[in-house]
Amino acid sequence: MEHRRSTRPSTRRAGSTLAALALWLRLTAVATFAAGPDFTTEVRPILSQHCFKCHGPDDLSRKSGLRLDLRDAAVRPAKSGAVAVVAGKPAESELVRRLHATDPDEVMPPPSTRQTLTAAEKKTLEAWIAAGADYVPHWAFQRPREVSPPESPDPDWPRNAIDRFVAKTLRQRGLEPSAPSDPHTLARRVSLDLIGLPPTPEEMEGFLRDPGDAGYERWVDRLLASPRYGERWGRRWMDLARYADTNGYEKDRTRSIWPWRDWVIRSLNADMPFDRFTLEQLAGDLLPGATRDQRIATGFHRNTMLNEEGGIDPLEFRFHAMTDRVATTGTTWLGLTLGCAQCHTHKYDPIPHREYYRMMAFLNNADEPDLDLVEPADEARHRADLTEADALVERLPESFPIEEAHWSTATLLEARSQKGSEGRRLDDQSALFTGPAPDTDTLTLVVSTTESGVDRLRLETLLDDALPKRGPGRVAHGNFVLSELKITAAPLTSPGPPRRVVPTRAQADVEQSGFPAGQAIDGQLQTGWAVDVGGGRLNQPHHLTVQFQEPVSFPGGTRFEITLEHQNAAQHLIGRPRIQLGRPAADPRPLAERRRAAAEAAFERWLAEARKQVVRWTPLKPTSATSTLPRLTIQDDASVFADGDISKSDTYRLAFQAPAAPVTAVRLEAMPDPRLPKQGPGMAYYEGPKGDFFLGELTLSAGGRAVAWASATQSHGKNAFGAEATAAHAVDGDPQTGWSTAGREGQRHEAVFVPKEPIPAGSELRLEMLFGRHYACSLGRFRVSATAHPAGARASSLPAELQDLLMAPEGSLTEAQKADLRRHFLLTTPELAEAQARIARLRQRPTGRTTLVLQERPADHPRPTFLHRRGEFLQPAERVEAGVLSAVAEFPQGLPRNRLGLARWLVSPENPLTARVTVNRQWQALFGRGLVRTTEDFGYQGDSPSHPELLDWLAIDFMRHGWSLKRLHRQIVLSATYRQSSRIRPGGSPGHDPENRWLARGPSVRLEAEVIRDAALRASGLLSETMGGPGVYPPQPAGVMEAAWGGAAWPTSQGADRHRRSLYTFTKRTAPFAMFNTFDAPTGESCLARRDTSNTPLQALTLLNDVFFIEVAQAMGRDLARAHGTVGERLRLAFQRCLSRPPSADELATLETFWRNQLARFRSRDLDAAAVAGPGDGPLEERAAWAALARALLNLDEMITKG
Amino acid sequence: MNPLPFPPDHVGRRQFLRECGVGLGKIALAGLLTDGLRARASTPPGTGPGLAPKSPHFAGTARRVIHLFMGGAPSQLELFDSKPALAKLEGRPLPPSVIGGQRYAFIRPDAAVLGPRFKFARHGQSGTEISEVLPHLAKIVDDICLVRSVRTDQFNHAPAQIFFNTGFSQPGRPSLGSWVLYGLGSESQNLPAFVVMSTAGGLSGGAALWSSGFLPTVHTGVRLRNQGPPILNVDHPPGIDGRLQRDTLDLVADLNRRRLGEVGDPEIATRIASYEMAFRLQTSAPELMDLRGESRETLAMYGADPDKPSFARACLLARRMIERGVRFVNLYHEGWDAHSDVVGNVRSNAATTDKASAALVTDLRQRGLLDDTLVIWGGEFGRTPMVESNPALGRSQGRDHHPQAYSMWLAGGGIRAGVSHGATDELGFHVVENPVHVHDLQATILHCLGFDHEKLTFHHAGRDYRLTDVHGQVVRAILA
Repeated sequence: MEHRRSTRPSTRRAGSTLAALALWLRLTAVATFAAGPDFTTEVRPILSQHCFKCHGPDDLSRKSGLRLDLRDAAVRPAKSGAVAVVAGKPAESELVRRLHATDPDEVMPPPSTRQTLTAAEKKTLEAWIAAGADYVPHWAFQRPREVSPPESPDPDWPRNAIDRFVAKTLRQRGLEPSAPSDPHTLARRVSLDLIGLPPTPEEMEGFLRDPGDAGYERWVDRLLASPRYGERWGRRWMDLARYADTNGYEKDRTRSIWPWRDWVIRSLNADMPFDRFTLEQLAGDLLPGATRDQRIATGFHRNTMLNEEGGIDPLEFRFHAMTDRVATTGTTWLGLTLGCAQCHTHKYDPIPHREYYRMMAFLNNADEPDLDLVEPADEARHRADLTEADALVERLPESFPIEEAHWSTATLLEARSQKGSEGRRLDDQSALFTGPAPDTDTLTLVVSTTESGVDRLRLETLLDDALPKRGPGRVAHGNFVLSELKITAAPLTSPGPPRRVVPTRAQADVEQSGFPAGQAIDGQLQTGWAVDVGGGRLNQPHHLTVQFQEPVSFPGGTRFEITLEHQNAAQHLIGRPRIQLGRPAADPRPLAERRRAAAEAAFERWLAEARKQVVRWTPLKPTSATSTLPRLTIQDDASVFADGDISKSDTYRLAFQAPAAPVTAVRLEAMPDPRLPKQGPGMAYYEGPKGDFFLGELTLSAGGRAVAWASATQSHGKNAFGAEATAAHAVDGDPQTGWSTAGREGQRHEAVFVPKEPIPAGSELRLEMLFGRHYACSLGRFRVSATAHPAGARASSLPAELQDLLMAPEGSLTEAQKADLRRHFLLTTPELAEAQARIARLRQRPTGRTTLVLQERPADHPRPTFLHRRGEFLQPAERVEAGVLSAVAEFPQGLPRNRLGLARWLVSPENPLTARVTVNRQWQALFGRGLVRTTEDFGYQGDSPSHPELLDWLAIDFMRHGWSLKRLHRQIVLSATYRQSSRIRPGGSPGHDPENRWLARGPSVRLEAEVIRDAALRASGLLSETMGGPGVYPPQPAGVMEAAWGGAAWPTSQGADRHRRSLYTFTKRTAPFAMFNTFDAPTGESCLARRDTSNTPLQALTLLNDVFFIEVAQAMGRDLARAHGTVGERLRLAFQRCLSRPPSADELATLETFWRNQLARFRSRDLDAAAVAGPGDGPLEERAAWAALARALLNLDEMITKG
Repeated sequence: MNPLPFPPDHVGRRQFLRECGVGLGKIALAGLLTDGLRARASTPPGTGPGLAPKSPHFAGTARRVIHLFMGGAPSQLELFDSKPALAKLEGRPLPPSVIGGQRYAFIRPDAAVLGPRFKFARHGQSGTEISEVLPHLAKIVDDICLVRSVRTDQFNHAPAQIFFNTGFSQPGRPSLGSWVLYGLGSESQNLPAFVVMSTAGGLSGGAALWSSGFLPTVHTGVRLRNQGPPILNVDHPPGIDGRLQRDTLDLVADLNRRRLGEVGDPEIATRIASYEMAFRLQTSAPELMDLRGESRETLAMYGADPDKPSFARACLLARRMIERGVRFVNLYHEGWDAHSDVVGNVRSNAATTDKASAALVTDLRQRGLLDDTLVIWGGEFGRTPMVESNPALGRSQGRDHHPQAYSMWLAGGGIRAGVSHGATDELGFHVVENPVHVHDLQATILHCLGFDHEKLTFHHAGRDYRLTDVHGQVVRAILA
């Protein structure tokens, strides 16, 4: 307790002469009065419980301007002149008078609070005032004090400063230190502590050659230098960071944040100073010239959970994540239970409600993107791929299919339908069939040609606005099935009996799986040709080419009758067929040249067609763009970019200047942008596909009147869940249906809306768009354009720039512009699908590796933080600015008020907590108990330090030596304190201290879940030392995932991934890895500074029967059966591997008996040796006996305990 | 107020317990030091250290709980809460005055009303009105207390399920079963004291539903699985027979005892005891699962196939667990989330659960176990009087999540039988009589077990936590 008496009063002008003077005065004052009740344990709890709510730190709820938590304020006269606390004079103190008042308007606490003080409590307060009303500042809020290590009573025992502090306390308690541990135990202890693995027998042998001080130091240094060190300490850090590989809550889907975990391991191995480690994780993105690694580091606070349930409000769960971040920051760096101040000012610690939200404001101003982590090697490979792709594009024409034929369009004479479809001849010689579509039909086309030697026919299936989705078929989705195609021919001039034309071969541009072209001429009506090949290529023109057995030719022309049977599927009818007829054409040019020529001709045809369809779009630059939530920014190219938060129902409102010409169609482009999730165009970041959007309703008003729409088309329309999502759904008056472009994120799409009546020029336009569905999915970047083209317009998949080029008068295009168009043609024309696919693969950005990071919001668009009444999301009150905890330390001048400033404040020398909390946590890791037992709570409710001077000395020493964790660990494990034997003195004996609070012995603690598993792997020789990468799925019992939502699977890893270190195990929050769960590992739902160490039958069942431990025992069995030496030697080896020490003669004899008994049972077939031994070679019964023995060893208490 | 988490006499108490031959883990301590709870060190320990039986604050009416959790949220309007007025309003939106500012998961609050889909009739002496899809429950209405006025704060599955079980919407706090175990300890030496089973689909709330939260981890629910070994690793590995297992345990115990003698760590004694309990569990778990001893009548009453995992079999197993000293059984049936086709959903889930739920109550009553076993039946929230239909999601004729008013029933353990409690308005939208918040139910359940819910606390992260947070009123009207 002496440390409290000697600490400074609560002034923050530390070190000033004034403070020193005040201290002297106060100490004198304390000495003058009789000893009163203890402030910390007796007085403050009463004040805190009954007075602080209205007279405490919270200035919002403070009554009458009276504050009782600070002495200066309590002894100052109030406005009324009364003085609450008159030191030494309870009778004159207003506080005492009010305690005893009988008038309900006077008595304190007021009757309305229904709080009353007991007589004893009143007496305590009076006695405290009588004794001088001494306020003792809480030790943890005072900066660590410089103390020199005391002289040790026994000068021979201490090895370093730590021991001198410990020895002093031991002496005060009348205790003696224990003898040093034996070398085996010590070497194992420090190995488990520093790298989380036991030594191998070989390593141990090396140590035993020189187990003295120098040898031990070398042993320790070797462990500190091992890459296993970062894995061991990384796992502890992951407890604080609440790391997991899934999002949590119902869906609990996989996330990729393991690059952060690997960053932690690398940083710890490199002994990154802890202050730097802090800065990078809290604010790496804000460091000047932030590196990729520094951005990865910000994943620390992205380990919060993400709810992807369909019904949630994403901003509500964002708020929950924020409260988690505040609480985690408090526990991890400050050792404070900040979470208690979420709903109201902290009941015990001086953390006002408002300051809680000011702390939140630091953390709340970040966006939460996925950081794409392309490895430099992948980047280089990608560049090479792009070059190759460019070369392939240049050579595309050489792959263009050519016909060794001369084609001409046949003249359509007649178009008939057997089932009464209405057939109409169009100018281009195609036949359009309309009217109610019958389920089946036989269409007949009668055509003529004057060409001679016709030996092939092509059936084109064209698109038309009159067809569903423009066809080519007549069923709702536009597909068709051609059951059979039959041809007859007759002379045109003298019609005689038609002659049947025998088809030999059929080819088509596309063939639906199960419906190849050949089935159209196979003579069977139940088979046929269809064109739905997926990938959005259905609603395009297609064609089928049929080769004749022999040429057909009549002088004076030929009349062909083509019968199209549709008998397979209801309404799967061709809507607009056209017939081309061909004859062989000899061409002497080289093949490549002919292909290039054909490609060029096709391009010219496409160009001519495209020119006909294209219209002139004029981008409409909004005069204003606002929304219900995200910020809309108008860009130079007239597009609008959205950023900030989005909700499940966001409305965008745009106003445009009145267009100069009438508007016959409006185009909405949904545009990709690298700043958006998956490059956009949408902003969806959870539940649906990232980068998705859903335009539920679009309304345009012109001159104040709503525009009615005649039609709506889109370049691509796809719903991520459920039915269709076309542009028409965005103007159907139902906000639940809409336009979406799922599946093609990162690409540009457009929707074109045609008004029923052209919008007159000069009408002011206002556009309103509603986005949202069961997840937030607003549009991230878009542009609105208008056209005055008299025929309106249709959506096109051509990029907008190319559409503009097509508007240029023919002949005015530069070669480069024409090349752009040609390239687009070559990359989209169906004839080159195969080569295009290869190019697309080459152009694909390397993906798969992303990690979650924080990114500070733009300076001109900060996210406001509000105080939330009762801590509830739905009760935001006034806005608060970022600020730190005033009771802890001032915010240093000159620091930015952002996360970087917060991080610097945390690790500033003025901060009394961070170094102490960090040092204490290391102590806990090594001794099983912190110098402050409540590692997570250094506040008033936490435990006092057992060795306050040692804690302060370590904290200062830690900061002075560059916040080096390795140095700190080395310092502790080299101490005599750490090296003591852990033997427990029996109850009743003088040294009995079950919790080892006074450190009269070395640490003895059950190993953590991961260490138990890793130690077994090391003992068996199975341990894979591969570091890093995505989580692995080692074997665990079937049924662990049984209750997980959505039938989640556990795809058990094969090979070495079964035996990776435990921290690489995939962590699923809702279905934790069974063995870890059984041994008290956390589930990553909240920050954990201290694990339980339970001791349960389920643990016994795990070690005895779990599939993993059986695998380990069998591996040991194989090794031991193969090993040289006598049974005794091999028993020793097995023992040594598991427990790092040789067995005693007794133990050896017991083990041998067991081994021999089992061997006999295996040999007698009493037991199934093959089942116990598992896979492998070597003598079966021996392997089984060794496996049985290894299994027993793995179950020993000593195996899972650090002794 | 005592700000110290450990009363000063705890070391002495621990020594005392140790000397009684009960090895106690370090963590076990916390469990013994509950405010006002007294360890009964003279009775044998439960399965696992830290779980010695304890006396509650006062003599409770229930000693055990079976919680039949209907995951996904059943439609009270099709099961328990008859609302003829809805039929008249069908197709029309509710007036905004009724809806208030309520947020919904999927629908807009002004969606059209959907009338009740099933007929209701009065049953039993109590004349309790129940839907035609629950014919079995109808026969035992006089044994249950139907609460038609339950309210919750959450309207999404995972948060609401976690809220019902832990009193808080985020994962991380102790579940009801953990609190009960923490307060009462275990009376079973051979089975876990808090057992969790689930049939049908995976659970939205996941492992958080039976987590011990910040309570010592020994209070976590143990899952009893449908397939394979009922408890993870309770079966011998392939090739290991009973004798080898015994030999192994003897060898381990022998070496552990020597170690104990050498280093004197009492944790080793606890571990030795844990291994013995594990060995007993290996026998008792299969015995529990073996339904061959159950009569044909019993199996028929539940509708359980002894070899096929089902809700019915799980109900029968729950009774067997209760008989064997299990303190808290949590049985999850997920699947009531009727966003589309509420008729088909209710019909199929009722067919799965009605018979067995009623049989469980009847069976417990016949065996004299109902008096001190509390049975709870219900979900995480209710369903809207409004229809859910969403063409973009392919949904029609469903009901959305409704937190303001829903129904549950309780039976046995000191709950008044044959009564209905609370009522909703004629649209089934709001509670208009005797509202029972989830925190109130939690307080009531703890009360039945003998706890003052305001005093069953655990000090964690700077303050004392309780299941009911700072809320909860015991619903005295439903107590017998």
